[in-house]
Amino acid sequence: MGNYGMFVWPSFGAVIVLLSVLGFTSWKRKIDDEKTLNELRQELENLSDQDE
Amino acid sequence: MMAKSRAANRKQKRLYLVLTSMAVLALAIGLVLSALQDNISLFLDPTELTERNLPDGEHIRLGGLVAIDSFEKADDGLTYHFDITDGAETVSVVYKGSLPDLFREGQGVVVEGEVHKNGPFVATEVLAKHDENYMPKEVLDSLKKRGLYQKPGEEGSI
Amino acid sequence: MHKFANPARFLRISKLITPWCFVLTAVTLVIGLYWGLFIAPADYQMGDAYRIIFVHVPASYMSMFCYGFMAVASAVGIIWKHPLADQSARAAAPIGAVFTALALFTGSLWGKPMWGTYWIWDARLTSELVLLFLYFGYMAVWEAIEDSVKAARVAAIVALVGAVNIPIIKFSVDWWNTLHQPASLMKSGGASIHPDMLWPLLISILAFNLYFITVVLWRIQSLIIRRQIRGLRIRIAEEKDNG
Repeated sequence: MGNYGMFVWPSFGAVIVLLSVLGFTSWKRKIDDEKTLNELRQELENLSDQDE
Repeated sequence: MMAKSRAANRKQKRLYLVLTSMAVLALAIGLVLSALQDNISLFLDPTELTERNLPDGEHIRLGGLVAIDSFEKADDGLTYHFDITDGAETVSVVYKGSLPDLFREGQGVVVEGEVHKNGPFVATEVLAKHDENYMPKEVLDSLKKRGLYQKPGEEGSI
Repeated sequence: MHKFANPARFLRISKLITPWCFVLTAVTLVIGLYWGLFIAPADYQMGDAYRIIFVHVPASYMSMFCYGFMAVASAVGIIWKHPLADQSARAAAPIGAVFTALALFTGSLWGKPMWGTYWIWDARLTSELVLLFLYFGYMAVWEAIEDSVKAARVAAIVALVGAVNIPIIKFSVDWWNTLHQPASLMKSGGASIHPDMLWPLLISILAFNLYFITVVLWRIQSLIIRRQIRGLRIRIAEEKDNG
């Protein structure tokens, strides 16, 4: 890479880091939301059962 | 049935509203941009510079190709002389400082500095312009060998 | 009826697709970047510095593509009032902002050794910076307006008005004198890049596209699920009141 390494490596590094962070947080958020949804569904079911 | 067709009607109305507003907006922006043409363009070319007849000391950016065989390094090793051409007009430039890696004769450059009627353009900054061609060195060499290589910008554009 | 049926079906189908998209993204990204960094030949003028093209062009292209996606989704949201469309546009905005930031950053690191400057206010660079602020503005609207129907409408208008900037970015290098060079890839007469460099670039662009599909689907899923969560919370509260 010669003298240009100091420009090339940070470019690739920034792309990999930012894309990974955005990808991971988006995935994690989806997983957490799914978990919350299932918990709430369970709660609602329990409440309905108590009614009967 | 009636309700549905009324809903469809509203959708169509909204569609036309969006389309016409976009068209009007594009037209307005287009007019503004064409009015600002001079301010948006980054540099003048040598022909424009000659036509404008700017006063001495006017600070501008000048762009064009570095003329072949015009590049000279002064004895102090820091000052450079070269000509910038657009094919029609040529302007001499003097510059003291470091040159970007892409700087070479036949290559596009943009220089910033002061106009002097009786003397060269005094540049304070030299930026190299890259062309849109990418190829390995070996390919260039073989193109040159077969006489097929055309220097970028020789068709008149930079 | 469509209002409730479609998001659920969308959720089901997209959950099937995303794992595959993720795997394809990872594979193509590794191939594209490795090929660009280590296998593609050096450029005759720029040497190894040109390798930044393999991240800069995909990021720049996707920064515009993503905004186009947002604008189309917003138009659909305004005209047909489909909630999925508004949510899709909303989900895409942060991804577009990241692509734009990367395009500016990698371009700056490319400009320094080649042009001799990190930044210049030419038409191409300035309009791309405006794009970044449009993404920020769009996201700020969603954060600032609490009523989601109203937020969707205002955000959609921002997206549509800002879409005018996309052709300006694309054609800035043709309409005005700029330091940035004209297009190499999408121009009449075919790409002016040697095939040995073009292939890794195309693979890298494909990888960025797949990345966008993967992440935007995750984010849309998240937004749909959050709507369902809000609905459930209300029902649970009602249930508790009754009980």
